Amino acid sequence: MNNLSITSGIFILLLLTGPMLMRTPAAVRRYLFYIINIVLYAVYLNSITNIIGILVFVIPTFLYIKLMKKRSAPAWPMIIIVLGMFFYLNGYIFIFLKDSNLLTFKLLGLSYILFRQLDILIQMNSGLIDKIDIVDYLNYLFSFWTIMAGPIQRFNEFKESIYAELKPLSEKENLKCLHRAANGMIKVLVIGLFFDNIVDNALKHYPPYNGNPLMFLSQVKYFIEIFYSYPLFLYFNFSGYCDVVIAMGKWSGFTLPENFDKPYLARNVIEFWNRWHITLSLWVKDYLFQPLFKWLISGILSKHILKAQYLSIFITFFLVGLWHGATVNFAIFGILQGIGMAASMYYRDTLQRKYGKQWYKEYLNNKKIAFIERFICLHYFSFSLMFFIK
Amino acid sequence: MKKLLNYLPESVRYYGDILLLSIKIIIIISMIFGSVKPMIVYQNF
Amino acid sequence: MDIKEELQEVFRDVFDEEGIVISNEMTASDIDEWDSLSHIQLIVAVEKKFKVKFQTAEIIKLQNVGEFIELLQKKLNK
Repeated sequence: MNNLSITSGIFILLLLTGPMLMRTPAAVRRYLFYIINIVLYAVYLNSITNIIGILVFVIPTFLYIKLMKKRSAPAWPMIIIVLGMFFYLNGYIFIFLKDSNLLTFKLLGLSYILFRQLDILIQMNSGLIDKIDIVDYLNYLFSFWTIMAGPIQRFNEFKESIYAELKPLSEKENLKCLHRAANGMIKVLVIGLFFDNIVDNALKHYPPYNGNPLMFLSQVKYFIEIFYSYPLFLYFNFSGYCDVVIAMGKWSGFTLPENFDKPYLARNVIEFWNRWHITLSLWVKDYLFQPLFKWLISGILSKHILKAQYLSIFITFFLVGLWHGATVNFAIFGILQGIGMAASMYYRDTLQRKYGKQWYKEYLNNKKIAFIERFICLHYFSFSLMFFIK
Repeated sequence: MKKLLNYLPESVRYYGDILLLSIKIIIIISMIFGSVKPMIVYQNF
Repeated sequence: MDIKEELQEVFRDVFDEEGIVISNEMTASDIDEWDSLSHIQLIVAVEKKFKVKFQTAEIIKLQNVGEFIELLQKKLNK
């Protein structure tokens, strides 16, 4: 199961040979990537059940988009089917059906593959993708750069990337990319691991509470260690990984979207999600929040725009929480993000309405207030992450 | 710090950069061969 | 009234500012409050006024007012 991890020989080899792979003629390149992507993923799956599972998940969508092209069928029936399959394959169904004998699957990157399929279906529905064949389709879904954990690229971006006319990078830019990738590796392997060890150790020694005040103090100590280390671990782990793939991609000539922008300096939860896992936030903004908000204000909440805002943002981020996994903890994590988002919006709207826009601008420029807001936002997110730990 | 570095001759900066990169790579390789097996948390989603 | 003038009225309505004059090159960054929330309100107001429907992906793709007018024109001609 280890051939797809950031330190696996095969993955590092692919990253290092990227520039050569990208410099093959475009007609060859697509098949070359096709073979690499499929073999890599198939080897990872290592069981026939999983292979059947992933084929059942991705092939119907491809057949359906052919139908959409020919008969101009709408996308929504397939979207429902894909979501239904995801619901099962990713284990959500077991929330309702405990101890059932249904087959279980372990498929890498399933939630990311879901987002890529939906992107194609929705874009196709508006005629914004002109043609797509099985090679491009599977290359997009299983692209080795991003198969593990993103960043979430859109289909049109992906096509531009893989068929890009390569401009040679200057030596300076080359070095910059390699430095960034090396820094990313160090973020994951050294800094991330350091905080991971603190969390691990604290979880291992976390004492049960038995009324003894000394025990209570020791609990507090371990809790503080986890509370401040886990957010740092998660940041270095995920942003380090993103640095590696984005920088090695750029070095090879394959453009990937950025995923982080100093998230822990955000002043409120809205800003936070504009800086943390950016490609996820943009995806849900385009395909979840906006359609939901539009549907609400053109229908049942047309007279209550503010309420529609808060409701849509809450639902969106509740689902973002659940997207991470089928557990109660992720549901709580989602609820906390939803509340944080809605509260940040409510706070902003209220201040603007009460004191005016000019006043609000001055408020935003106040350094002391900025500091307090950052402090609160960081602690709110850290608190919500306590439900994120496995 | 950045400003100070700008006073160095181009070639010194260049080789310094390469040297720094090599050090980073040595750290990474020794971590990997020291069988550090980190999991990317987001890989599970 | 042509489409542009009618659209301008919708803009003035949604952003609650009488002084807005729209041009083809105008983008979201030219109006302070043009974020994803008001963008959707704008779309819904246009849908109501012109009796058209926009699809999710079309809404995302719009880059400036010119493209908006073009898309609207295409829908009205159908």
